[in-house]
Amino acid sequence: MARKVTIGLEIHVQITGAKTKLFCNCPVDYRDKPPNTNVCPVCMGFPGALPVVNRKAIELAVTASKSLNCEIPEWLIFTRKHYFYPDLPKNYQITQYKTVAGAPVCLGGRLDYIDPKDWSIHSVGLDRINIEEDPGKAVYEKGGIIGSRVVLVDYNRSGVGLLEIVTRPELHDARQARIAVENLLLTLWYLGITDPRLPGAFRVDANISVEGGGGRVELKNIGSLIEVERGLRYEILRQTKIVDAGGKIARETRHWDTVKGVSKATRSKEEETDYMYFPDPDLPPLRVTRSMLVKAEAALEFTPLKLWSDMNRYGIDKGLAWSIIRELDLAKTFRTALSIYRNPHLIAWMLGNVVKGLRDKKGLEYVPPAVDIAYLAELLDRNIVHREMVKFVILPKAMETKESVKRIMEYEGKLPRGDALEKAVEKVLIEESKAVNDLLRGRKQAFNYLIGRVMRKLDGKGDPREIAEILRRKLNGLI
Amino acid sequence: MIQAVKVSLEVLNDRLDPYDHLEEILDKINRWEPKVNAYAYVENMGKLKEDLGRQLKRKGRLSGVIVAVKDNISTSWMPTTAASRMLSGYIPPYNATVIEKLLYEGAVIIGKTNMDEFAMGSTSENTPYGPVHNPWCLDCTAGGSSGGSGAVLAYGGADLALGSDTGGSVRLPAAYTGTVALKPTYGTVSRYGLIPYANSLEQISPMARTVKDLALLYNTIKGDDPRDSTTLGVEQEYPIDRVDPGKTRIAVIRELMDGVDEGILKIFWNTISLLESHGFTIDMVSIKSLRYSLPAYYVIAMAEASSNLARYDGVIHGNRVKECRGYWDCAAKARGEYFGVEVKTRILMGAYVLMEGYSREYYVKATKLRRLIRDSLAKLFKDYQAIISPVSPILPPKLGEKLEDPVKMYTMDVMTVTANLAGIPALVQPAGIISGFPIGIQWMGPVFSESRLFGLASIVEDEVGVITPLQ
Repeated sequence: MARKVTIGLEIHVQITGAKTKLFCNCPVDYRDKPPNTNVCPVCMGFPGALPVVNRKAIELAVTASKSLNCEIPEWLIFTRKHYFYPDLPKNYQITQYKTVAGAPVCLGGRLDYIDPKDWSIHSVGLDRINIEEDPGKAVYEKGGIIGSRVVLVDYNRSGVGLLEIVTRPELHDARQARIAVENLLLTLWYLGITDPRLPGAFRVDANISVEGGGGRVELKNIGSLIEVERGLRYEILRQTKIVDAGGKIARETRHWDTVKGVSKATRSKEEETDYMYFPDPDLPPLRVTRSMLVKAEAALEFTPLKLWSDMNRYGIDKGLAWSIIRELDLAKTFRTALSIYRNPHLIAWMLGNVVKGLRDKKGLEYVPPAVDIAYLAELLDRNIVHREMVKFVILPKAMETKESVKRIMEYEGKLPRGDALEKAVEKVLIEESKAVNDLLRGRKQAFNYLIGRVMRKLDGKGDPREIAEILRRKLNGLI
Repeated sequence: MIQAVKVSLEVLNDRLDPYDHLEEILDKINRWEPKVNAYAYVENMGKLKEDLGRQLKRKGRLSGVIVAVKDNISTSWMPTTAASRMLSGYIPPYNATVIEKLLYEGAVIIGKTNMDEFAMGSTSENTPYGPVHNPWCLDCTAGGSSGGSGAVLAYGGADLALGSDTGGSVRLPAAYTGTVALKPTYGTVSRYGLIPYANSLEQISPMARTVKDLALLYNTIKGDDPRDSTTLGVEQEYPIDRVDPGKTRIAVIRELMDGVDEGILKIFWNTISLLESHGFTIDMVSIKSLRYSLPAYYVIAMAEASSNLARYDGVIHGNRVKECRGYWDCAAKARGEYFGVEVKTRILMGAYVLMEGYSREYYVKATKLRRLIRDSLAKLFKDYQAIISPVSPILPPKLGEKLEDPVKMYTMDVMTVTANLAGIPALVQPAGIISGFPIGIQWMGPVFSESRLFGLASIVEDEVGVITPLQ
């Protein structure tokens, strides 16, 4: 029987955009490094080593909070959260906490997200966002801490800045939860806060309860968008079956086993851990400055939702728009190309249809630069090339060879090669001496006439803007 | 014995052979250490001579000066154990910022001084190296927790010494060993590399035999440090001020005069008369909130201690036990095995005051009291330029005596903890001798008033004289 489901998410996102760890100068880029080589006394918690806040990470956290409509306190306070675990060098984690030691970077807030099923926009409320440090990574002989004789710990990741984003329990199905996370990551990606494509850049924990079940279950260890939906579906089904059979759901923590596709109880009963929170005396309260807020505000010029509403205003097909928005490099190229040549439809078609299609089908990752896309849009507008040519010849070649569009056009005979253009201009200047004289006397129309003559000489293959440029150069200073 | 301020100049002018100076100090160490036990580690002679040769070339203001360092300040080439079996054998991978500054100025670090384990104690008896004996009275405590640094200076086993002061840890030893010590304004000296006990209260603190030497050492180690976010970003020198008695009102605080030993009181009031004869105005005032200093201090200190010491579980930090199974068992056994009783007591009490449900009653309340104390002192300093008080209510206890009763030991700190709670500077100097014991007095001033405190202490020093090193 269908029961009302309530889901709240806790999303940990690495602040990879900060370049260095949250409290020391070790790089955030620990991937592919030999174990325990990306560390220093601070992120290893050596006695007497002291944390110093990474300003860039704070700026990015403030930007994230702004983008999520949060209330940002004037002073940020860092808190120590204590628990003994081998991956935690100090046996406390520097984080932020709502009560006693107050003031996380974001209180309240709201994530707006687009549902690509029907293009509706939804919201989920946020409880808060904490800035905190990532622990190291423990590898257990027997898969878990209990029963393992040997634990290997790699602290390369220790101290990387995290945003812990906690939603209110306002989501009601697995797909919706996945979409919300996807939208969130997209926004943070746009804002330069994280790169969600990096393995381990985000992790999701979910609290799930079904109506009539009683307790809520915390599902841990969800590492990808697909797993968010899979894990939640499984857990909802598991709980529903129990409740349907007249059972109750115990409050517990369960581990999502990606390989087997099942959730497993980690502890029979959820322990009420006392974390003994108190403000970290090594880190004075940090003021959220005016300049941080201004910077954050400026960054919000470019977000998926903003681009979505712009594209809707241009009347771009929603599916096409979404396929561009979902990939940061396409979105950035769209924005820049549009600032060079204002034909949003042609640019969107090339990026969302052609480039995206080639990426999906052929795995071509390279995106031609925005100037080339703008240039092609102009050539399309001037009927120098047609869509089939762009779709089947020019863009595939550009993506395969990473050559400039202009070179490909020349090669394909769509543009005069090499100095053909120069020669044509020179010829026309000699042949059309009357027009040249008119131009020199100030008759502006003569200029367009000359361009037309050059184009005709080239069988319509020349780029009028480039011809104009050459003409100006040849008539150096005279017009 | 030559003052530290004169060493580098005398060496430069060939009036002092720095190697003779080093040997004189090593002779004293050989003579006194078997009785005093103030050093946890002394560098070998060969290495010291090599260091001296290198450091003389620096021609800094401490070239040729021999400095003893408390065992909780990180040195990358010498053990740094904070007098704990947990850290026996530990050599840090880096130097504390203050060590870098000493080395930069040409100092030679002679060794690490004995102390209470993790600086927790007031008698320098909670130590695996055995208790520090007071050179003035060998069966007495030298005070704590920087008792080793105080004792070393008292017998001439170094020119200068570094201690750390969390609640009086350099001032009590200074009072008991007839030496001078300054607990600086919080945030003027970097804590980078100081093995933490209670971060929000403690400062690495200079110790010496004369006020001039004390000022020299303080001016060497102070300064902003980008690696310590709690340093205040103030870059200034702290010379010894010439204090104008006509413009200086001094407060005696009633709450800091309770239950003080008669002999100590006698020296204290003598000092007051002396200051009055110089033309100072001295008033008795009352600050009620100071009655709560001691409990507020211990709650905050223990809370921070329990957190700081969590890292010693034998994984990265601290020694491991051989027989154990699994992470929690191994961590618990290592902590059970290698922490001393006083450390365990404070960890447990600290955890207690931070527990959900108790935190509001203890930790949060203590931080409120702390603010109250800070504010009432700030108010007092609008009318008064300094506070004078005794340092300890009692003469140095016999070794073993205080360990029996921890609460009695904690009350030894009643006059010193206020400065740590308020973050203000406090200077202790000898003001006389009673029945063979040196007696200290304490100066406190508003934040950044170190120069004034040096000036006030100089006036007393000029009258009383320098009483160490002992012969």
